[in-house]
Amino acid sequence: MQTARAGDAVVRDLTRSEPRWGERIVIAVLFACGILSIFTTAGIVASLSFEAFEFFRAVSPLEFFTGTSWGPTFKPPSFGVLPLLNATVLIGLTSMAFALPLGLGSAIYLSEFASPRVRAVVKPALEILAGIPTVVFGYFALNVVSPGLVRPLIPGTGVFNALAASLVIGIMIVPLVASISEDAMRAVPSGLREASYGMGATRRITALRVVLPAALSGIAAASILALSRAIGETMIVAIAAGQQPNLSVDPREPMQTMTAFIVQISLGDTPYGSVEYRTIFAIGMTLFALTLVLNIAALRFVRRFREVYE
Amino acid sequence: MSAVAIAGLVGGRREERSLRELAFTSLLLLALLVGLVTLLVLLVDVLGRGLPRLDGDFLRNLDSRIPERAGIRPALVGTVWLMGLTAAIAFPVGVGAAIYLEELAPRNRLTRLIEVNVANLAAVPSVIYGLLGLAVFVRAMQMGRSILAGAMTLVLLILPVIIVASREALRAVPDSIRQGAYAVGATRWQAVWHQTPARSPPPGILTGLILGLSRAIGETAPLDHPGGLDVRELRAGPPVRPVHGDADPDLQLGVAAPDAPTRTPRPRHRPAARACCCHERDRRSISEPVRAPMVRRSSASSSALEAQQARAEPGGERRVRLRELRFGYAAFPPCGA
Repeated sequence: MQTARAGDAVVRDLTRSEPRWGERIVIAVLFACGILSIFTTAGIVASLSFEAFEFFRAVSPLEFFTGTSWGPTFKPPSFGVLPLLNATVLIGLTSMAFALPLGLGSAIYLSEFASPRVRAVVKPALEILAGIPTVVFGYFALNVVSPGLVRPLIPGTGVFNALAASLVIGIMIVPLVASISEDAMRAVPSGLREASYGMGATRRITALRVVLPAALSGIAAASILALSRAIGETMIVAIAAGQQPNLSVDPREPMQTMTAFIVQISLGDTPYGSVEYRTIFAIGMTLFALTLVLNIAALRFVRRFREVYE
Repeated sequence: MSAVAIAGLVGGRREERSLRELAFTSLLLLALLVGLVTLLVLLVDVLGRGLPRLDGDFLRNLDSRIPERAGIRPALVGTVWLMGLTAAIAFPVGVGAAIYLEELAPRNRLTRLIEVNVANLAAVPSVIYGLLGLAVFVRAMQMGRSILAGAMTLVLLILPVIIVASREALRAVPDSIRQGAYAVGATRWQAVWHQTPARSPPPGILTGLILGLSRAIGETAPLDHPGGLDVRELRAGPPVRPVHGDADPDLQLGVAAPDAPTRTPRPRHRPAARACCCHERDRRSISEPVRAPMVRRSSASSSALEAQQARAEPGGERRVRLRELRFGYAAFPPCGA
């Protein structure tokens, strides 16, 4: 009798659909946390485009994107973004020219040559580099790299130059390149390596002709992400690159990037709602679009290398 | 597959081969060493310049006209506030989002969109977050340039990090635990609530928070807009210097809370290093009571020339340092404005 009732109770619990309001609320709250990221992106796009739209009502987009002179605070003001864009791309590419060989070399060594003990020590040490605040890197570029390395080696370079900034940004993104590339290389099945050794290939040949091509999409992703980081890097260029809009391809000269200009305006007391104030949103929008394209490309590559081997 | 082809693949005679192997390995090692040596130089430089100047007074004192008495207390307090608020908001929201995405979310388009979106947000430059904070928190929500606005901006900045790390931690919980819970009639939420914490040690989830905070604490660019200026209001006394915001972005720049968890093995050294930066900049700005109006553009390069000349003079070293530091200052035009 009693057991039957207990059985009834269980059956009733399982079949009756309870509203479970508390649980619904909890799930709704968690969902809200999740959806917040969408709102963040939407907020970025909305706030940037709203102010940028206002900006483009005052300044023609044609002038903005094709003008070769940048001086929104001058009289008369000029709004050609090309010098800033040029500096951003130049510094980004120069720093990649340092970071790619260094990062890739480190990754190959860590993944294919280093003993587990070495890797256990070296990899975290390298990653400290990525955790150093960029302000400190900025002062390092200005106080150590520029006077200690760049100026003695390359005559005719000023205290502020794009080269020192690029060098330090390059060093900053080495861990990023190294870490993601190494993950991609380690994801290459060891069967491929063993087959290569079985053919009599050396470690160098195996690394270069078997592992590297197999991990190429991961390496591509690492490079694109690193480039995106370099382009978005702010404090190093704001401190060490010189804050002078300069349409030049000579990295020995001082330059101002898009990010550095945003810092310059936002630390100053530009009146709210003025055209100068809105320039930073137009520039922010350009920067966001640039990095968005890079990030999406990188995500594609990452997905590919994960799909192939996992 | 002839022997010749194999020989071609592996690269010629034995001695030549081993030489190439050696050269290649040394090149790789060199690449690795460049990064590590730079790290070492950076640490030595920063400690060498920073440690001698770091004492109790430096941490305790307010900003001062007299360089020897200048301290970073307002900035320190500001950073502690900022980090505390950021952690208090970001942790629950981030972990909540991770739980939703990992455990509860239906596999549909919206969920995929959120996931891609989180991955993308992690790579958005921090300066962009600053603009977002400026437009949304400072202006639209009328928070003004406050610690709260700064903290909210940092929350958005570090959320992707927390979400990704927490999801990793949750993924470490074996599926059998969940299935066991469902088997005894638990709902999805009950399975999460009662089973996951027991199986997924807090450190896994805390990693995300620590990583996020370590990014936030070194962050400068997004704070230029929303958070920068109100540190002044946390000062115990009246502002020593004229109000026009030149102290505060400086202070915000360089400061760290000494006990904040960071990923580096030498957490105590880093604040020192940054404090050093801040300190130097401050001393320099303070030791020049009458400052020229904003030095910008062409004049900066002419003063670079001066520095070169000054360096050539014997005994002119200290002056050079001061000058160079002033260039650093000129690199932040608005500070000198």
